[in-house]
Amino acid sequence: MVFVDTNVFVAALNRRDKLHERDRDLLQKAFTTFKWLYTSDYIFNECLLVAWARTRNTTLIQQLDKVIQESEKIEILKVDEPCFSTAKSYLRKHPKLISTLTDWASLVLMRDHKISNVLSFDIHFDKVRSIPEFSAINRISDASQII
Amino acid sequence: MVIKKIERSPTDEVFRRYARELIDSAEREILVIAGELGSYQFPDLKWAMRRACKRGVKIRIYASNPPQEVVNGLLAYGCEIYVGEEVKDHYLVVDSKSWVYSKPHRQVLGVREGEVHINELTKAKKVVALFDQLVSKAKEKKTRIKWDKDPLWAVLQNPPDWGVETDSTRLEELF
Repeated sequence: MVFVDTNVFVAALNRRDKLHERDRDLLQKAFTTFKWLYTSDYIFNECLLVAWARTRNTTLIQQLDKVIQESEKIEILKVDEPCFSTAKSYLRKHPKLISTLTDWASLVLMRDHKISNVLSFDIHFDKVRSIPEFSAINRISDASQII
Repeated sequence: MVIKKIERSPTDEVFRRYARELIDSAEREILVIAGELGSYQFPDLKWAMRRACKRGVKIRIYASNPPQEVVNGLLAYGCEIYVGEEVKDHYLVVDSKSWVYSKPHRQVLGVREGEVHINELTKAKKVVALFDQLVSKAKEKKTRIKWDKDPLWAVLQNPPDWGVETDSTRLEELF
């Protein structure tokens, strides 16, 4: 099982991203390897927000919305009250380890759904392994890491 | 027995709320008579159907023109899909006792209206009979899941050009 972070969607879906070619391979390999690609409603929102902030292009926003929302391969996990509360607690407890609520929410969702792999370029997901409940987190940033 | 009217609402939220509640109440079986399965494009209804699948509810769908990307997801979750001639009146029947009726409508947002019938066994049986009749003349979708038709796979073959460079390793600087 694998969770997909915002930066992987952005890099794969913008051919002008610095890591586009490498990341496109990564997401294609993940698509064909894993039964589902999990992500969260927060990540979905971040993807659209990044695209809007950089382009102000409504057609692009609609296209990305359709791709992520209507793909039957992508399972969007929702941040509910307990998840939000737990993520906030981690953020307050370990602000130097990871400083965004979205990342903590991703980690809590991954923990709750027993997902250990995360597709991400964010090295903070490596550092979080120092916390016992997240010690199994395995960050994947290259297609060669997917067996 | 309870009958509720589904009034039009700007984003079909009244229709969605009743349909979602009914799907979430399902214990054994959900039958759907639809056209293009447009309602499945609403995330809340899609999630409700997936929840039903996960708790072991059998889902059988009759549709006249279901898009392949929707069929992919339904097949992957173990739903039965039958494709046949178009029918104007659309239904969602739960456990052969409660159902949502959706009046014929255009494929646009905010025009869905109909009725919800809770614990109306006699009429529910008639809708179940209609479903069985339609299915008997329909073709079951037993094809392999065609993931190459998935929107994500399709866009990965030809990714969009945003017109600007992005650095996905430094996205936090954008926020």
